[in-house]
Order: sequence, then C-alpha cells, then structure tokens
Amino acid sequence: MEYLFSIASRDELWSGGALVESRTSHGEMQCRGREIDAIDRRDERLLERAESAMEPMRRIARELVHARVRLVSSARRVNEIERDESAITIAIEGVSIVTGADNALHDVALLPTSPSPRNGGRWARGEGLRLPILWQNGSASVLLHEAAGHAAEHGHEELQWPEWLTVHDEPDFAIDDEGQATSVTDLKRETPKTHRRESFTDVALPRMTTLIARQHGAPWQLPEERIDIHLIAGGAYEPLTQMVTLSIAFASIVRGGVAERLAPFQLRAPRRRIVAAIRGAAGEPLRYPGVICSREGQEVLVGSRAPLMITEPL
Amino acid sequence: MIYRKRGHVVRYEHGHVVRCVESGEAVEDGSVFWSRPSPSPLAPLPALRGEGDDVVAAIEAMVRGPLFIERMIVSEGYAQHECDDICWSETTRRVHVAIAHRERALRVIIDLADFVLDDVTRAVEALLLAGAEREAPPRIRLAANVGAALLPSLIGTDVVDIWQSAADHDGNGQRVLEQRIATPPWPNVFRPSYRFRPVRMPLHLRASARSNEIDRELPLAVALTAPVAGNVLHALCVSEGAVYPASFAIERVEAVNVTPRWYPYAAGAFGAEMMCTRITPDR
Repeated sequence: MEYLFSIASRDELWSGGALVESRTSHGEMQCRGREIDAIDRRDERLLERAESAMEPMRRIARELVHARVRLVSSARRVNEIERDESAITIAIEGVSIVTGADNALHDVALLPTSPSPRNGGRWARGEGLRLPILWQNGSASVLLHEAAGHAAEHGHEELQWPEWLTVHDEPDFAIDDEGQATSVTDLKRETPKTHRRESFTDVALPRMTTLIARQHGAPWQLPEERIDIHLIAGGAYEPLTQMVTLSIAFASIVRGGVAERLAPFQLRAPRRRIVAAIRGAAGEPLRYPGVICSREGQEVLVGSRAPLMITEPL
Repeated sequence: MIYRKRGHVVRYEHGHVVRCVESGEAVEDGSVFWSRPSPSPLAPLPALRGEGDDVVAAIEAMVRGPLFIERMIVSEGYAQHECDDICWSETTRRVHVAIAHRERALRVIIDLADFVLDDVTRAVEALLLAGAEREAPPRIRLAANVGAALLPSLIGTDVVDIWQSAADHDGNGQRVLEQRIATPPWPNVFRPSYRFRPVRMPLHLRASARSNEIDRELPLAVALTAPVAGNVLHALCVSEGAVYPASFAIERVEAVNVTPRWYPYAAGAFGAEMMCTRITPDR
C-alpha cells in the first residue's frame, strides 16, 4: 500500500474567555508498505481549511468566561481526498463535554452548575450503587464504546448481546487515513475497519469513528428507583481482563420521583457482566456530547449516539 | 522567550518504521504560549546509528509461548535546541514495551532510555514463570528499573530523600543544579516537545538513603505490572524460585544503591536498587 497523507491542524486553549495556548502543526507522510517518511511540510490549502473552522469556535470560547475551552481543528488529505475535523471541549469545574460549534451552546447547558460538580452531591455508596441505571443523553454510547468498541478493536470474543440492540461504527467520511474506502462495522462482531491517525507522525490504527447504538423493539420499563447517568468524565477498557471502568461525572439518584445529585463515582465491571446487565432501551439514538478516545497515545474524536438505555446495577 | 528545536527520529511502532524530520519553535508571550513549525536550517543533521531494528528483533525473539507483545515502541533520535542564545544538542534512545501473559491476565511494562535489554530479558523470564498474585512480603528489594519508576512519586514524602542531579541544560537551556528536592517551586523546567509549555519540575532524580547495604536474600521486584500510582507499586516479584505479582505500598526505604543508568520516568530518574520495609498491602 502506498499513499501520501498530509495534515494541518490548529489547537487552542482558552480559559476565562481568554486565549492561553495556541498551536499550529502541519506535515506530510509518505507511506510505502510499513515504511513511513514524515516531514513537517507546510500545506497552505490545508492550513487555511483548518484555520477557517477556528473562528466560529473562538466566538464560543470568548463567551464562556467560566469555562476552560479547547478548540481543535484539522484538515487532512490522503492522496487527493480531503476532509476536515473539529471539536470544542468545554470544561466547567472539572466536568467536560466535547461538541461542535453548532451544538456548543445547547450542549453546555448539560453541564451541572450547582452544586459544584467537584464537591457537591451525595456520595454514591452501598445501596445507591445497587440500583438499576438509566443511561441518559446518549451516555450508553460511552458504555458501549468501551464494552463493544474497544473489545472489537482488540478482536475479543463475541458475546450474547440482546438481539434488539445494534452497535455499529458508521464513518461519516468516505476515505480513511490510509486511503481506503470506509464502511459500516458491526461492533458486536467485527473489528473497526477504518484506520485513523492523530498526526503526520503517527501510525494509523483501526479505530472507531462514530458509534451508533440503536434499539429495535426493545423492552422498556423505567424503574422508579434508579440512578440516572447524565455525563461521563472518562472510560477505559483493560484488554487483558476485559474490565470496563467508567468515571461518572454527573448522575442522580431517583427515588419517589425525586432526583438527588450524586457525587462523581466510578463504575467497574467485566464486559461480560455489562452485556448481561442490559435490560431495555427506548427511542431514537441521542447524540452524546463527546468522546475523545485516546489509544496508543493518539487522541481521536469519536461520535457517539445511543438511545435511552436501562441496565441492571453494575 | 523563544525556544527552537530541530531534529529527526526513527521510530519502530506496530510493525512500522517511521522516519520523521521536524523543526519548530515555541514562544511565551505574556500569558499566551504559541508553538508552530519553523523552517529548518539547511545544515544536515547527524546520521542516526540505526540500531533500533536490532532492538525490535531482539525483543521479538525473547517473547514466546504464552507471552505476547502488547505494545512495543523503539526510537532513536537527535535534536538541536536553542533557547534565546543558548544552544545544545542531545541524542535519545527510548524503548517502551508491554509484554503480556495470555493465560494469566498479567503484563510487564518496561521503559528504557538505552538499548541495553537486560531489564527486558529478566522481566520476560520472570513472566514466563509467573504464578498467582500473592501478598507482598514485609520487606522487599526493588530492582533498579522499578525503583527509578517510583522516584517521581516519592518527592516530598518522608519515604526517602530525593535529589535532583546536575546536568548541563534544562528545557530552557539553564544549568540543572544538584540539590535535594522536597517542595516546589522547582528550580528547573522540563520541555519534552516544542509543542508543550515548559513545566517546572525536578529533573534527573536520584534517591539517597543512609545505607547502601541491601539484603540480597529478600524477594526482588523485577518489573512493573502497571504504572506507579503514588507510593503504590504493582510489580512482578521473584523469591526463592517463586514468581508472583503483588501490589504494595512503600512506607520506608532502608537502603539505596544508585546506578548510573538513566530511565525516562517523568523528567528522568536514575536507577535505584532499594531495600524497602513496612510494606502494606494495597487496599
């Protein structure tokens, strides 16, 4: 396989409505089989494309004076095919979302403001953690990103997922970072086929692009007592033990129709247990505001959508 | 302040060989940090010795049977630095390898700043014989590579004295002064890339204890099985023919033998063979 990959990217960090860090990066790699020659060559066209996506995001960063905001924009070309990526990460008091310029102001409303997400809320211990879980805002996509997506990247064995649930990787671009045509992957059964890289010095790896979970006639019974999960700070999949760990940033305990904020907590369960715990789902896939997936030191944005989903306690 | 870096690196990763040439600059302009590629001078860079592929082949030859390489990154590079009017250069070698046991759900992680593979050989031999997890013994030795990994977490604790070792240049080109390190502000800065704002932190760490007499009969932790977390180690231990993973917190270091070998943990740490006591199980 032989191809030329070029990229230009802009990356800015804003705090309190002011710019604090600004990075420009560009370069190209000539790939011949397993040999890669990379150099930081400047490509004006790609740089202009990357820069053009920044100004709308800067306007948002200037407005968010209580937030820490990271703006990332890149434009890349493989052989003659070009495409762009951009994302805004907005963090307020340690809880963050990843979104785009079009959805930023809508999504930022999901961030809890009171009580303080760092210090407030009741600690989730004992009985609280033994309640069923309602995965709101498309957050089930993060659970499935770890339990299905990363397991698929590692080629781990197929499990008995509910038949009503599909979990697909659905690239929204035609050509991947190795110049190959992209296609939909069933993450319950297959390794993602799309190769992605963060920069011109990175080896492309099979990575998720947009995870979309759908329910097809799933059972649905909302438990009166439950934990509602709204936002997730991060997740991890340990390939040796197939253990999934999620850091829950924003959740509530619901009893008697009353919701009480929980302090941040961690969920940890084997993949097999998670699959067995999935009980039901409802509605169309909801866009979860953001997954920046880090693997092998390369950060890539992964789109994430899932319906409301219920699991047994994890 | 303007910092410039120019260099090249050969990296072996996931079965690929990546040869990369880059030059860039970083500017701190009041409260804003800027970084961007900058045109490289025309003078050629010195050739690299090109021994990385031998290292890759040697590690691949070691790993057999129930073991497999989860991740291996080997690199060799040369860089020229300039910060205001100070110029310096360096050559770097790095090995990062994670080797796992298919049947034991266990991995060893080794990081090196040279191409001497004895730490890898010892870890592979131990991993092949690894049994079930055990409680750590009350006293234990840490191999120099394991001790080095622990040093950044021990700064400011009463577990052992930590010193910054002298060197010619920090990330701003300033001299790195020999001194005991306990509390910030740290005197020097670390700059792993021109793309990142320099960070004040201690460099080239070295442990110091009253004694260097180490009881060679004690069980020996030969390799990390997970990254260090605070003073808690997850390590593969060897004791009278038995090999087992254990998790333990280091409460005190009784004796240290500092080795001249430098490891790429945080902003660098010298090998520290340690005899440790008052081990408590990690809970």
